[in-house]
Amino acid sequence: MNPPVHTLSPQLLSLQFFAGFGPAELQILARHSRQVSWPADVEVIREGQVATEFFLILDGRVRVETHLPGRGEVTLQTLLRGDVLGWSWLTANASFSFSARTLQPTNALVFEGTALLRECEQHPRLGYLLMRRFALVMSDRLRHTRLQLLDLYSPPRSSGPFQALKKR
Amino acid sequence: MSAIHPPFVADAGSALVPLPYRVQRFVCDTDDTFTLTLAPQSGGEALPFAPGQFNMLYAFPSGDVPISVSGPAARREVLIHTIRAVGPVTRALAQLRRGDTVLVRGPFGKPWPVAQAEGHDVVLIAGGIGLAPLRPVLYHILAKRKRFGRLCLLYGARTPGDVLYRRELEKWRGRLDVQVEVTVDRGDSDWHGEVGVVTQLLERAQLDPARTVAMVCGPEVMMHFSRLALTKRGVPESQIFVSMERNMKCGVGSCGHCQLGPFFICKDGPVFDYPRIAPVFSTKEL
Ligand SMILES: Cc1cc2nc3c(=O)[nH]c(=O)nc-3n(C[C@H](O)[C@H](O)[C@H](O)COP(=O)(O)OP(=O)(O)OC[C@H]3O[C@@H](n4cnc5c(N)ncnc54)[C@H](O)[C@@H]3O)c2cc1C
Ligand code: FES
Repeated sequence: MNPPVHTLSPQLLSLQFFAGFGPAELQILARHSRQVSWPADVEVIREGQVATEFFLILDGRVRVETHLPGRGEVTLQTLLRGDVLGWSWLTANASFSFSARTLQPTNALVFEGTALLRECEQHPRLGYLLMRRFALVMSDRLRHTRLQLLDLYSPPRSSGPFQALKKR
Repeated sequence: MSAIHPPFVADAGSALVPLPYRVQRFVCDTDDTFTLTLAPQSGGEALPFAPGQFNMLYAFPSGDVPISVSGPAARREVLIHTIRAVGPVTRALAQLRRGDTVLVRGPFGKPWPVAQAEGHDVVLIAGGIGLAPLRPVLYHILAKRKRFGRLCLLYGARTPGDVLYRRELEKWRGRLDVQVEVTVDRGDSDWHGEVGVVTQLLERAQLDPARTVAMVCGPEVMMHFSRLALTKRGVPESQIFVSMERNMKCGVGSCGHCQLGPFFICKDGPVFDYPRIAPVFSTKEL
């Protein structure tokens, strides 16, 4: 098991995720986080599993996926350095809506969401800042999902059936 | 940097007279997209062009369509065009075989501002078939690499099967002097690249926004969101260029077919700096 991180290095603090947190809040975040290293092709979270943690990707790459009957695993999004994985922990007793798997060896910070929720009760400023941070994460994710739904590169409406070139 | 305006490049004398070209090579890029390598039937050099310009390609009996040149401008003996088969003319072009004849008229239009981008960071943002008109820019910059700052190619496609020029993308990605990011809207279990929209890639592009020239090509909705993302990243609007598309007939600004507001896309464009086209951008055909 990896040792707990008691201080967040300046390099980590340069990540957008930590912007706006003061020293007191950073100390609490550090207390409830630890660094993990995963090899490639490891399932980090599983759809349906109780969600008590969230992750901040430090390097490497993780894909968020879901299983569709008849289509297998479908990748919904890939996450890189600075991206946050998982927000289900915000609502108590929630479970992960999607699975996530590493595509490359990946380092991340794991935050104990349940413990942080308890801290938020005692430290409203931490709660406020965390909620704002996750509101941003969620609104970004929503915006990107909307753009994906818009089918930005869709070919123009077809004027009839076309025999695929590959079959020539 | 002051606003960059693409130079006017005079159309070749053959603008109204189609010239016969022979299909030297036909490559299937994806299920619906193919690349034609065309050589002048008379021998000699092909029509010279600047990156971003287009030709009118005739397919009998269906008619003619504007198609950008997708090959290197420095390769003078052939014209290369990448075409997505979407309707009668492009599907007729998809039926061509090696040795067949195609009539070509051009080149037309204002090119990408490659010379003016020298000394700047350059970001190329392409969506779907939009990579084809930008590929000559990439060839040009890679051939004269030292004259430019950082170079980023951000490319979005619908699915892994829709990604164009895969081998070239891999080759470019292997270079140390260009950042190549490719993303798809929907990945499958064999896709190990990015999944997400092309605007997300911009957040990761390594460039100095204030000294960046952005060239964006793809469907209008994709260019609209790319422009918003570039502005959010701090790239000045005068340094953002887009390539517009409208149905065309003459290609030289005389029939009015391609009119968009005060512009004839064939003659005033297809490449525009964003402030110029902004008043009519994302509006319906007028
Ligand atoms: C300057 C310029 C450069 C272009 N470069 C390329 C290129 O490099 N490669 C390429 O594949 N295509 C390119 N195009 C688009 C190409 O010209 C059209 O796809 C073609 O005219 C379609 O003709 P068609 O007869 O096959 O289909 P049409 O019957 O004309 O169209 C079939 C369907 O496609 C839609 N459509 C037609 N033209 C366009 C368009 N331009 N954009 C969006 N939807 C359209 C129609 O509304 C219709 O639903 C370019 C267009 C312009 C103006
Ligand atoms: S195509 Fe005739 S004016 Fe543009």
